[in-house]
Amino acid sequence: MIKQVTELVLKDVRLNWRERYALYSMLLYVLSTSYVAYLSFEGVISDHSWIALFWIIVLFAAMNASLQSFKRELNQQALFFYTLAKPRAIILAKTIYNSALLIVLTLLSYAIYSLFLGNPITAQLSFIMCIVLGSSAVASILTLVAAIASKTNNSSGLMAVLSIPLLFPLLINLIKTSKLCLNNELDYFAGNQLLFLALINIVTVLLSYLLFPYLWRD
Amino acid sequence: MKIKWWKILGVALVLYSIIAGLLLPVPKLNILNETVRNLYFHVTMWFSMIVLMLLSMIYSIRYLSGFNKLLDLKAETLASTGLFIATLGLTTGMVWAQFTWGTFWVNDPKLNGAAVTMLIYLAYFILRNSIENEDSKARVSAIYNILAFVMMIVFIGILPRMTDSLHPGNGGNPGFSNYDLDSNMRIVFYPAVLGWILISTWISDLRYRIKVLETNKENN
Repeated sequence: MIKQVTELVLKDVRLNWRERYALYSMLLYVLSTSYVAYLSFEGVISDHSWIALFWIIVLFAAMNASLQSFKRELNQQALFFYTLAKPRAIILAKTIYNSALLIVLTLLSYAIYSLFLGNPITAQLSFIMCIVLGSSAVASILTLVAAIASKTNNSSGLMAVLSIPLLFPLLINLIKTSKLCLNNELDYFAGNQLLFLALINIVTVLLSYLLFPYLWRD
Repeated sequence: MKIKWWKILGVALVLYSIIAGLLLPVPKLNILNETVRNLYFHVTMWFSMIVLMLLSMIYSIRYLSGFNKLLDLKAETLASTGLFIATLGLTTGMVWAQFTWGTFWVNDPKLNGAAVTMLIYLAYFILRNSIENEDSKARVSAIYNILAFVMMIVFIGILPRMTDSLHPGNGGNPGFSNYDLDSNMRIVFYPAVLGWILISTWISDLRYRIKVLETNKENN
């Protein structure tokens, strides 16, 4: 099982590296939206808007990124694929890959975004922890929703409809946690919020693990 | 035609809660005053909704373990009845909020939770309608239904507890558990919860049976 998962993750990394344009397009998306934000706020932005805008940009980048995750698995080749690997290994591998991708993407966005709009965050360490836990939670929810949406005729349209309500409470929580990072407060409260993010991660991965075997076979 | 005992019990309890809820004395709480009676009609809706959604999830799980179409139909009907009950809960809450807080909608964790819940279940119905193949429709939406319920419980169970709410009983607002004089309210509230749960299950059961009859008619 673990061997299969690592193989599948490596396969995804290799395939996506071969088609780098998708990765570049995500980076370009972050770059252009950050620049648009810079232009529209004229460089002056309140701390709270900074945080809200940051997470909204990340959210949509994540949605674009995970929309692609089941595109390759749609054709006939996928059926062959599913006979080789266990479905549970497939979903775990996808979740791990997407989480890793999104963590890297969010960290890069953080750098690009701070470049244009400044950086009001003082508690860097807890903010980065918030980014890591938050993006992996977002990625694991989005991976399962992408798997669900890939079964429909209108997957890109449904992706937003299905995932935004599921992500919305997470987004609120991320914004709240980030606000705590504004005033150097790595205290009890921030710890609680981070715990909540970790909990979401565990619950979603568990659900994907349990439910995906029912989803893939047609 | 046999009437099951729980249907009679449901009607009796709801009737009792309406009459007793409007007539029995309530504690005089600051700000809330007589609007505290909304507890019997507003909060009960959310209890019934959660029970309906829970049942819906259970039927979805049962569908996945046997792929019996009727179970999926049952899950769908329960979810749509739950959504209807949630709409009632939202409406009663909004009217109450207008008189207590002076506005129909505030940025409150419980309201956000309610809004998110309704959006999640609306998405569930959009998902259902966007898949043509009957079998994969039932399977995919069962999976989303399970995901939706678990997420809803995580969000409405944990998130509001991490922040203050404007709701009575939260954040220093006068509530029912703060005062131990509400034995009067308890003897109405608990039967009302049970009554509405029974009634809403009954509504869902009736709608399910109508749908079964309709599909049978189409097939013949």
